[in-house]
Amino acid sequence: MSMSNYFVVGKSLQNSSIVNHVTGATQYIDSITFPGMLWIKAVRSPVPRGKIKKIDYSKAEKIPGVVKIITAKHVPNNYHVNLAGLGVGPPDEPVLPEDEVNYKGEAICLVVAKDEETAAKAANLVEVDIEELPPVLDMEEALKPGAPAIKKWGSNVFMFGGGMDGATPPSSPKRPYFLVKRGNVEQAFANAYEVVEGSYLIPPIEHAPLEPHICVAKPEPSGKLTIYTPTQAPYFVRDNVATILNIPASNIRVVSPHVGGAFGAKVDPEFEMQVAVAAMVVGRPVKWRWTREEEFTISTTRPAVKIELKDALSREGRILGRKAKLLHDAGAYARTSPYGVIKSTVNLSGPYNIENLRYEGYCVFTNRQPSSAMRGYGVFEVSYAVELHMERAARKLGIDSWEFRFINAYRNNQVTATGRPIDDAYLIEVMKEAAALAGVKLPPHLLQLSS
Amino acid sequence: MKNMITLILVFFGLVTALKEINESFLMPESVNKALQLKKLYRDSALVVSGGTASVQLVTKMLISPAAIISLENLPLNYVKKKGNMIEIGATTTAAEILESDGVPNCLLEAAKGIHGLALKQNATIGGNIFTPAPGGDMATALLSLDAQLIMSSSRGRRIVPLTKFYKGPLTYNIRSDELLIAIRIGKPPKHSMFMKQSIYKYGGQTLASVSVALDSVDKVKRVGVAVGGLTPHPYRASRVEKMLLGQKISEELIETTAQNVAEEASDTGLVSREYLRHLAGVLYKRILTRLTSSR
Amino acid sequence: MMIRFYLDGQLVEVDVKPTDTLLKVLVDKLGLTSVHYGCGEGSCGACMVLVDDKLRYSCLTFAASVNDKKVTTVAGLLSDHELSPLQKKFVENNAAQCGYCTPGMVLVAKALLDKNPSPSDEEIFDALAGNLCRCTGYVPIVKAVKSAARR
Repeated sequence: MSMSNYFVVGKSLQNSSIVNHVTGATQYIDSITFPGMLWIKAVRSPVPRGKIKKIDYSKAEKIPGVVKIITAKHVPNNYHVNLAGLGVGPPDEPVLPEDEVNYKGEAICLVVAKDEETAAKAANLVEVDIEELPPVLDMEEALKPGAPAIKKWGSNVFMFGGGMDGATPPSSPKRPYFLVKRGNVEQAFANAYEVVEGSYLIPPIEHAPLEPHICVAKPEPSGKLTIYTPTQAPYFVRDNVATILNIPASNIRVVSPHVGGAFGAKVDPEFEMQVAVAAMVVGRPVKWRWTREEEFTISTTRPAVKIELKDALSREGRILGRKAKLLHDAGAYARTSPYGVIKSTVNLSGPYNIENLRYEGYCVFTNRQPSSAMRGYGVFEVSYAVELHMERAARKLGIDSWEFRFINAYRNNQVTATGRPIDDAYLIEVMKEAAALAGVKLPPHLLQLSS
Repeated sequence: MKNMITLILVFFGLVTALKEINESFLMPESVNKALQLKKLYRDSALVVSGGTASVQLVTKMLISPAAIISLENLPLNYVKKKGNMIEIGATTTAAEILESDGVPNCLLEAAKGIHGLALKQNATIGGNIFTPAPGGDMATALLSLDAQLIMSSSRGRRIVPLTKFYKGPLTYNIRSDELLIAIRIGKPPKHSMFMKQSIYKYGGQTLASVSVALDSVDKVKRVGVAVGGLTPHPYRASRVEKMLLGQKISEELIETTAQNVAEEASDTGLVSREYLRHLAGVLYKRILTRLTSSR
Repeated sequence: MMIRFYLDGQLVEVDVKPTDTLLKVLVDKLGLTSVHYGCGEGSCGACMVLVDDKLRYSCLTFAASVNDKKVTTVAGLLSDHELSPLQKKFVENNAAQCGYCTPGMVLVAKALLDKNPSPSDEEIFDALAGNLCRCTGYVPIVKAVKSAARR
């Protein structure tokens, strides 16, 4: 059957919403409005780390049109972790902080008012007395003995194992890193002809969707709540809101219509929980529209990542073994980072067959805005480091880097770093195709190879 | 932008304290009416020309003016030849300048560099003169041309050379009852050129800009070298001008004078001071090399 | 203060504050879906409208200033529920993914082509430089504008 006989495969299909897009008929959350709807603005922390001494609302409350100021005490169950539904724990993030702030811009309290400007004016009048504490802003500093611990459990790392990460059984040992190991890595290094080391840094990246975060929550007299949000993960929103409100998930309906770009920025339930609490407290629909500034400084970013790779190489160009240490900057709270670290760590072999390995992935907490998923979460960062390292290793051995990749590419019937058998390897075929497209003439002995 | 906002905050902090907020939107149809309003409100009103820099001061709650005076309906968008001079009305947009005849090359290039059709159709030359870096591209070009500003008030007219207009960050030689009505450029020089470096090729803020106006490349008798982006408002590189006067412009002269283009530079938060100084030197050299290559 | 203006051909009257932006009035007061908030400072173009045939960032336009004027959003380009030729070119070239930037892109393209029916690539890039897109990608957008231009 040739490609032309398929309805979809090999065809460029029209975006099903495009006629609405070009006529401006597509409804994003911003045009959703209800009679009596109120607006939220947050009072945000001016410092990356500090103790909240006193919050003085008296001036803000006097502004006509201010309906309510929402604080931690209004939240039935304040602490949550985004991936609780996947078994990740413990809950480490407050909906609204009780006594301390952990990143610059963290929402301290919410002003609910008749319109956006009134809420903003009143938020500017809330006086917060914060005792600034020395912040931890660098991952390596955070890991040093004696570094100020920003987590209540007394360290700056997420504990993997023991069933806390959603990936390991409860009986597995707890460690300050996620561990992937296979074979005998020390033996591989003892047998090495060459050893190549490299350290790779990936900066945080802001998704910058054109539509900033926006959410409307509408409570009903029955006790049910509808949340309109451009989320990428409606079930995460539903479950987390149910947890923090202490109500059954069946009482919550999450509507996620058109999303004006997200790229991972809208996968974390973050402000939806704050909007839900506000709506339940005031008993009226409420809306929160983040500004572009908030989108940049408060919403998640791709994590900053540092990857150290060390390879044991044979004379013929085979990777005998690899040691890797990955530091992933989660920012102040776990969000989806434990999952991201697991994804990164299991991918540290890249698409290459490495039989002896030891990979440690650290989920490090710092006083920075929380990081989370972004396109190719965990894999993009690692691919960048691994492919640069492949070039470096090939150079050190004096082998052409195409050849080096062909030698080490996964073949069928090999196993991945985590021991999963491979029966669909296509790297060699893809590399041949890519070389042809790039005008690179590969030698005949490589062109003869297959997966 | 961040620097600009901070500066504006400091500047307008005083203004807001002066008057109780009595919000009104005023859109005078004649210059006389506008001057009466300016006399009444003085510095407590926000004057909006194209709005591309000023409206967000209100929407971001950086200022709370007692009134907003929009110049949109004033008959001040024109480019006229007056004898040897060119007069440009204060609300003339970049797009209108690009469609006009007789505008010196450097000003055309500055107008063309304002990114996007929408900004070009709204950014006005008068507003541009007040806009600090990273705005103010047309101001840089005008400064190299020895432009003069026509200030008007109900008391009469006053001519202020642009070289005497900037007194400090967001501090201008304008009185509280005056409006900038028009800009005059004397006999346009034989050569003039504007170049800038922005963050991306299409769009993005200006990092640094240089504008040069010259009567001759063989024996310089009149020269203006203006630098934008390094400081909140553009300045004239007077040391360079002195070194060029009376000289024939040669490769060596370009090289030695280029060292003196960046007299001052402030960290913009976008790039470092050192990089800005470097950019100004490179842009200056490119302009003079281009101007002399046509010799 | 009460203002009245023609919005996509319909006369509307609305009570605004002197400091309200046109964007705020169109979205929050009139419930329009065809203009979008993206940055509030004229950097992204998602809020673009035409005021008397001149492009405006509605986030940088005081609503009071459009009194007695004609405001056109992308929805106003339809005639008898029929897409304009330019909108059809955007559809044919799949020049919209999430669609959030699309109204602004279409309006700038319209303003450009109305003045200059056969722009060069350079002129198209320059005209669109004040509008950001994060998911469609500029290639199909520029292709749509080019295919709508007179060759």
